[in-house]
Amino acid sequence: MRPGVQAVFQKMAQDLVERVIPAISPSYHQGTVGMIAAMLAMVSEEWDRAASRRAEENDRLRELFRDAAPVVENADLKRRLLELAKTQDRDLRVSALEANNCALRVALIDLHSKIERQKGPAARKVEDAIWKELVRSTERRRFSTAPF
Amino acid sequence: MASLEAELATYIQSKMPEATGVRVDRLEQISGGASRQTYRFRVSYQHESAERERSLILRRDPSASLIDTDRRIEFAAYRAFFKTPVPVPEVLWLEDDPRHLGSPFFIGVEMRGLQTAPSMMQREPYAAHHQKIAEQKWSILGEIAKQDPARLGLVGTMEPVKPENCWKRELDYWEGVLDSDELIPQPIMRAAIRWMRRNPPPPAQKVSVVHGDYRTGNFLYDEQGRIHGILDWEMSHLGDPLEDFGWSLNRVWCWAQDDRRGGLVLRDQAIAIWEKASGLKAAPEALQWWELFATVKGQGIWVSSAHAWETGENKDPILVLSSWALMNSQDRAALELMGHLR
Repeated sequence: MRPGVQAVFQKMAQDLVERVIPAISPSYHQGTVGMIAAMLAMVSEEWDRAASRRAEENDRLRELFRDAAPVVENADLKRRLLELAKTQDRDLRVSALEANNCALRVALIDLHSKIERQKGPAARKVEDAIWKELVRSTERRRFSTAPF
Repeated sequence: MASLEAELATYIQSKMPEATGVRVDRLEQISGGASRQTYRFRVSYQHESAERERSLILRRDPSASLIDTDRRIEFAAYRAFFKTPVPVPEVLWLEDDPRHLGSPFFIGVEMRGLQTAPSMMQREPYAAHHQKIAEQKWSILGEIAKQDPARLGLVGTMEPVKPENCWKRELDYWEGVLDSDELIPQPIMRAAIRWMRRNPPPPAQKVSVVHGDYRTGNFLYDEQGRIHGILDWEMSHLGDPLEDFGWSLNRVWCWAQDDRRGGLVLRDQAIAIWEKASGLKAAPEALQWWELFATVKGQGIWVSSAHAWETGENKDPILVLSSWALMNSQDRAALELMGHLR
């Protein structure tokens, strides 16, 4: 698609704010169009990174599971982590990557809740790795217009 | 809109039998919180041989909203705080019967010529008054904490809670919202909730009315930086005053994209104003717990708004925008409060 989606959506958002909103009333509809413009700008920002950030995160979570599995005491969770660590993102559509990401993050929650109750330096190392990955996950999702 | 104007006129006439010729015009939907449809309108009538008119606000329930709330509690809160040191608009009539306007509603008096938008707060002439607005904002919140819920007549309307149970009741509720409505897993919020249960806050210093959504965007202010009315009481309840204060400090309300809370002043300044006005202490560990709770509650709201849109209950774009725009910031706020964001 050329011109690129990013540029097109950005321009559409700009036009809505600068040209359409001043020309419409009542104010409630101005607000609605303003929200649509803000969402177009967000889609514009997300478009290019949508697949790559999910694929990157899925790989990082699989690595984390591979490293954590030997430390985990719960046998069921250990087996599940090793199985998930072997999975791959064969379908690169965003919806498929998102579905894989959700499955991995459900397991991440289970891992986190169990490892934080487990004693010993190896468990603390896994816990630290989880927090670092969670911080990175928010950086991947960050929008330039975010309040924080 | 014509039919709604006629329906409103019929309803108001029934509430003002002493008036004649009640007419409604200038009906216009406005932004007014995401949980109710809000309209402004003018009502004109004759009373004691004189022509009279008033500018009023209609708050009507939608089919589904950002926040599931009880209009009776919201109405009672407005009525209770009217003519107290906590400025609120006057409310007139509450109607639960949907046959009048299609769904339940209440009507109040419009405070005209004022702003609510957080974005306007960052522009002149308002930007010059941030300190003044902040002093009032957190002093009024302190006044809410100081008021006795029993003397306000709100005990009974609002569910009672013991000081030691405030935190658990709220956390249970919002964790339940995440359980029922989340569309994608929330590992940061789940970790925050586990931490909060392992490290509960001290009992509330007192049980007071909690506004429930006290933030920049939910009060009316003028060009001189004066606050005239606190709005959107739909989530008000009895609880720990630190709940409101922690919510007001939430990073997602940093509208200027810097460290100023509510887009107004730094956190320490807000704490000093609130402590002086409320006569209460914002002990660091207790406040940290309630600020972290604010991130869980916020995420509960953004998650449920996304859920409402996706399940088709409500297709208002604000449900999508709030979810898209704030969920990640809410996660980052939780990470910061737990000491992981450096």
